[in-house]
Amino acid sequence: MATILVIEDVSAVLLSLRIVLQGAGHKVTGAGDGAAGLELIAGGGFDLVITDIWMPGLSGAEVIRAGRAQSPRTRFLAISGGDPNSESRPECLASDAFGADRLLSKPFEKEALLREVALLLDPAPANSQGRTP
Amino acid sequence: MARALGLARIACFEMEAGKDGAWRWFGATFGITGVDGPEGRARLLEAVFDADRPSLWVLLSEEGAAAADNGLLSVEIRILTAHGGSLDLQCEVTAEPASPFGPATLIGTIRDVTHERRFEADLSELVRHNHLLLATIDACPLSITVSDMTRPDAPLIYANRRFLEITGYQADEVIGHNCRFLQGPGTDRTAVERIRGAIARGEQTELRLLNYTRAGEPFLNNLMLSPLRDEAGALSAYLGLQEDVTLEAARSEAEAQRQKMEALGRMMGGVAHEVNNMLQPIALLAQHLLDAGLAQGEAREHVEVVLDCSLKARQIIGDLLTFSRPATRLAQRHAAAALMQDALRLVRPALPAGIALVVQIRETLPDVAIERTVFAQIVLNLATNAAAAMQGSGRLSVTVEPMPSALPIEAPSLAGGLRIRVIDTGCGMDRVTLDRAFEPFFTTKPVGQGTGLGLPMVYGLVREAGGSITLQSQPGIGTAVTILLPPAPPEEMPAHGHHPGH
Repeated sequence: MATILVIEDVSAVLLSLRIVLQGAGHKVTGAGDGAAGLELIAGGGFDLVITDIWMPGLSGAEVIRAGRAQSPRTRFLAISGGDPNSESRPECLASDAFGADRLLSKPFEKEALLREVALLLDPAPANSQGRTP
Repeated sequence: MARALGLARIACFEMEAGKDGAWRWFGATFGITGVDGPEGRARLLEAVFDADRPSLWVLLSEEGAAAADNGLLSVEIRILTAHGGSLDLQCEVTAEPASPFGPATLIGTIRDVTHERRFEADLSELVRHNHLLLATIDACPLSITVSDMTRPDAPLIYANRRFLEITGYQADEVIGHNCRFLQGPGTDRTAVERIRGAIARGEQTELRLLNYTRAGEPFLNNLMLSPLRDEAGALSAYLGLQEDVTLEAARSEAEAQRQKMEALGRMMGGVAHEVNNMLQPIALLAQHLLDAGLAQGEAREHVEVVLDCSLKARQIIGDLLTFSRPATRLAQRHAAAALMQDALRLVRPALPAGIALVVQIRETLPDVAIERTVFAQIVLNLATNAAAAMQGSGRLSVTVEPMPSALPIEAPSLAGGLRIRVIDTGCGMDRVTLDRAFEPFFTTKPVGQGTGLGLPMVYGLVREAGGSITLQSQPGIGTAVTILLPPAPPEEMPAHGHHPGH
């Protein structure tokens, strides 16, 4: 059971993440854009932030950078369907996973999401680095 | 009489033998002061160019007189004029022996031949100039021919060295023949018709057509024909300028292809981002319905179909992005032969029994930097396409060799790399199909038998590995796919697959 913030501009995606994460027993807060998300992070208390990367306004990468400064103990999971202005897959674009602890390419399966979440909330430090294959 | 001689620029003189013999001069003086006076001989000798003086001296001396006994003596001399110019004079003497009426006498004429000499000099300059012009045309890097339009069938009357180099013929094999010997089976008939039309109208024309060398090698000829007319305006000849633009055309075609694929890739990126987002709730919510037991019986079955379709759609989007994704990912150094053997292990079971697989892998090959799975994917895709084109029977030949050093290549980075060729004996492709073969979703297979993403993916994977891919095809004969891969960068990545069983 963790406290999770999901930042995602596509409401249907936000809804589906909320349902799946709540179904797994987590407490979920949603934000529709990066600025709203950052405000919530500043309020503190999130174990994990799941953020989309390519959003209107503040990008996910900017949210992660600013969010880490505000809340150093919060883990970050980036989710992306690829750069709308480029032909690349997300994992090709950002070797640093946009500054996040992990990166998931949309669309991902429920099982993959829950596995990543569990991995990030696991206190064992050995599992805290690296990217998804 | 003296005046008449003067006008004709001729002079006559008489000189009595002996050192102080009398001197008489009539006619033109050529501007030499005193030449018609008693000291005329000395004045004449003074006026002559230094270089010519000795020969005139001999002529006007005792020896000259002796020699002249045997007939006419002639020398040419140049003199300086008062205006600083020079005159060419021809001097002829003959001897009159001593007689009861007087001493031995030299009789001579001097004639101004300046105009004749100047004309001759100009003429030889002209000839020299023409020679130079011909040598220049012969050495010109552009191929130049001249066809004689006044003779039947307009035979070639000139072909320069470059023409012979490009076509591989000897001069005597082409001179006297109409230049249609350059045409061959692949020559565009409409281009030939355009040439005929332009010649019939006496117009200038420029076009590209496929021609053939003496050895039968095709080359793309950029041909310019220009009419030459005589003074009366009648067509006398056609000047032909040819340029072998085979390589240039291949390069610009590859560049156009690259640009098209890039534009498509950018579009795909935008589409993929949107579709990936839309697929996300479908995948998650469908799974949730199943996991939470919210869908039962028939509803459960339907939700399973929805989930399955969303995962297949994800696969299609992923393949779509593969064809255009840039930049190399984690590519390790591999021995080319081992890579191909690994890939062929996947290919063999996928081929129908009627297809013979002929593999030629050279012993010495450069290492390449490419992911093993990516390489296998490329080969498997090409083999599957080839098998489909052969409809169950034929021959699939796969060759792996070092890139021939003489091969013209698009990018210098490919030099010293690997050449892979996959050649089938299938149905082949026409020009239109060939042009679109790398486009995503362009497929010639019946609906449901292919997504049209095979070749685009291969294209993307090869580009990602820094390589190039080209297709040659003839309907009814088959298709040849040529892949060029750059050599692995020296010794930065550890080598894999050098040893059997690795």
